[in-house]
Amino acid sequence: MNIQYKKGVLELCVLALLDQQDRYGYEISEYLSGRIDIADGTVYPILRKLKSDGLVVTYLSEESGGPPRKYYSLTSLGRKTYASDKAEYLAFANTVETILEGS
Amino acid sequence: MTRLEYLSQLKSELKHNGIPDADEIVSEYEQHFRFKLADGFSEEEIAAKLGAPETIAAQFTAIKSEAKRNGGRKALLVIWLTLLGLLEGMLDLLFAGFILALFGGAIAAAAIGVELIGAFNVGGLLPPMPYGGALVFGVCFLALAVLFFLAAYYCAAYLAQMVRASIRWRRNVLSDGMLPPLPWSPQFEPKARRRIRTVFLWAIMIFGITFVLGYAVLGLSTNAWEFWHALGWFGYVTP
Repeated sequence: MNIQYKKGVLELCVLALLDQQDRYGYEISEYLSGRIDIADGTVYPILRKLKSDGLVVTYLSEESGGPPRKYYSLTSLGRKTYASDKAEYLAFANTVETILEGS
Repeated sequence: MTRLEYLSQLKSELKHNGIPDADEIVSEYEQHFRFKLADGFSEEEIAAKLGAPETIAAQFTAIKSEAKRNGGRKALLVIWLTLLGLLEGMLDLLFAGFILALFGGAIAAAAIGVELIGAFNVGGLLPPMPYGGALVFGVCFLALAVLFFLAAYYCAAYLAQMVRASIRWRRNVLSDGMLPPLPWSPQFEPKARRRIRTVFLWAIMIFGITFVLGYAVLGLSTNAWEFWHALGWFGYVTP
């Protein structure tokens, strides 16, 4: 599957992960690249885009042993966007599935 | 590609593309290397899995140009809001002048009323008239003062509310409407609204009655319809 095609869906996946809890960049990258065939480096630009759109904010958190980690957290706008994008995507995917199965 | 090669290439690509905080981005990839190295991967493996630095840098550049387009639209919006604000400000100022005039009217009417009732006639500004008429007209002017004051008060509340609603509207336009819009007309508590209405009705009733009564008192006491001639007002001397 080509990367442009995946990019929009990846954004939604990142929002879904952050909807569960705050996470740091590497955690998200590992989670997604372990399940979807993407280059490991692709997640960071997505996180940055979400931040510049105001959907997430970042904060630094000290961990035992090692430099502080940059955590990402959904804003209220991010939560709203996730809810509506999720509903939209599920309806869309459902339709596509119906069409593909029907042919 | 080693860790350092990868990071320096990414940095130079980002700088080349004009990304302002390249260091912050690179530090995120540095951390990625650190985590992966701790898991036992080699630098070469990690770099290969990350994707080519040019590709990654291009993805960051795509975001920046999108943000810039949004910024352009926002700048236009700010200019438009500023122009609208200037017009609005001028109208508000005009309205404020009107309110000030109403307050002036209230104070003047109150002063005349007090002078008539107290028979002070400071500076001889008031025309001569029998005290009975002066008393009735004094009350009449006091009622008029209350009416003026109410009008000024209501207009001032209206102006304040319009300014508040306008500020809220601007904030919402600029930040995608997170707050509910405010009404443009003043919102009084039901109790305050009832009180204002009561005072208004009493004042206008007293004003009407005392005006007619004052006219009647002066007309009867001078035995003339145009009593101001009989009393020698406005420099008119009875022949």
